[in-house]
Amino acid sequence: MNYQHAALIVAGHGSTENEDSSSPSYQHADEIRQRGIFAEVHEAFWKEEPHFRDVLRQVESDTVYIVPNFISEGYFTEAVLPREFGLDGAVTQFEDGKTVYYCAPVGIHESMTDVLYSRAVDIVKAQGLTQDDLKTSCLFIVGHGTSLNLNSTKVIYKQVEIIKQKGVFGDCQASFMEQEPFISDWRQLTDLKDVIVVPFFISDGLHSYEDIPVLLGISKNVREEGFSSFNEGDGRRLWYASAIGTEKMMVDVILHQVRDLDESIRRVSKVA
Amino acid sequence: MKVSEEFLKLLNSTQGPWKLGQVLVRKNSDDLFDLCHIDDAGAEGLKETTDRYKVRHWVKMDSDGNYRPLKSEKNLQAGWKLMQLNLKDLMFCLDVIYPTAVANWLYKYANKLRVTPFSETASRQTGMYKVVSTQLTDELQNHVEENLCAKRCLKLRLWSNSGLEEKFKDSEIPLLCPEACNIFVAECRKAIKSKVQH
Repeated sequence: MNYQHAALIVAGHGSTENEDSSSPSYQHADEIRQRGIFAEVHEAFWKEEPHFRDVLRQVESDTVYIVPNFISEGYFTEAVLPREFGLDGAVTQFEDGKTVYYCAPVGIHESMTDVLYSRAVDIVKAQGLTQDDLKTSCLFIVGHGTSLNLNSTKVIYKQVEIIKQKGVFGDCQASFMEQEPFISDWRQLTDLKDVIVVPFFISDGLHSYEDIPVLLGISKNVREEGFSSFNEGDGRRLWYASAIGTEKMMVDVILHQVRDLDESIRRVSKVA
Repeated sequence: MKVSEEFLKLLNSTQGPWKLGQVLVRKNSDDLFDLCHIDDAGAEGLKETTDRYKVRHWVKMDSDGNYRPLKSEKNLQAGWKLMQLNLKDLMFCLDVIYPTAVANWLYKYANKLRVTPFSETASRQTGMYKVVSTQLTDELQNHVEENLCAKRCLKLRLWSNSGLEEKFKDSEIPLLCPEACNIFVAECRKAIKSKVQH
């Protein structure tokens, strides 16, 4: 993959409250920067600087790819980012000669299945268990839920179906903080002894550090003591992972989205 | 505009050290630069590094360990020195400390910096910020400008009536604000909500 003629912008939400919100965007941008794939790599945010409105002034390349580091399509990827960047579709030609390619958000890419799988396997293997132990485990992919996040809910259900078909885990289920099936009911949702919980969020923050642990019944302070395994008094074992967006493999998802947009443009231009 | 080329021209045509907000850029040799906090000019015992990525840590938190989302706030922690940066690394560090500040100044210099009036920024807000386009009074806007922009932020508001009237030394790169940021819009929303509740 060679994009030496182009710039990449990793566009995240950011936060004025949570210092970890933008960390995955920086982490993945740094890795891509160090791989030297693009002429330049920049980060941009809605709630932090550099803002979407301003970042293009820093960009020197005439070809620019923007990859939204968002978990699903929706208000931000369909309304806020295009408006703030001044985009009018997948490809926008600016007066200063820049051509900006607007990719799909990372969370909806099919390779997210591999990221989820890897995260779940890694956390269990770190405890000295084997792949066979996964056969007696239920993987819960946890989202926020509620009507504000319909698209992310759909993405999670889609991932659950794909992972179920792979048959690696004893079971795989979608669960949510604020809608059924509630993650707080995990003991009733599965009979399997071992449970792996992966939050389907871009970054760690209030939800993954505090809200979900409380709903799971974890008494330890995850923010301070780290994500780990938790033995339940009833003989069940629970492994809790950090937000999926912090996984190193997200770098590949970002690059997949760039390549996929290029390929779809090439297909369209061939047809035309 | 090739920002790096224009920045190099600016550095070559003016006498350093150069000041941007709370940081100072000094020439280390013909092609290399050092970067430190203005309070540390000439200080000894600083944390010295050539690793440009270290700058993120010093920018993210203030000296008390509090998160600083407003990067142009007047509370950049001191005590560090980035050494022997080439132009690319210098620009990387400056963009981490004051994102788009160098580009803004060079665009302004070339008469290409577009200034967006606040009425335009407010009118394009949607979702939870829509109220800023419909309910923000001049009084509330002034209140937020006073308490956020004037008291906490080092940037010069080009979008407000305060304008850019000052003259700058060649060695000074001012932090320009061509458009109200999301932090300002969010504070306006808070001010509206607070007014409604009282």
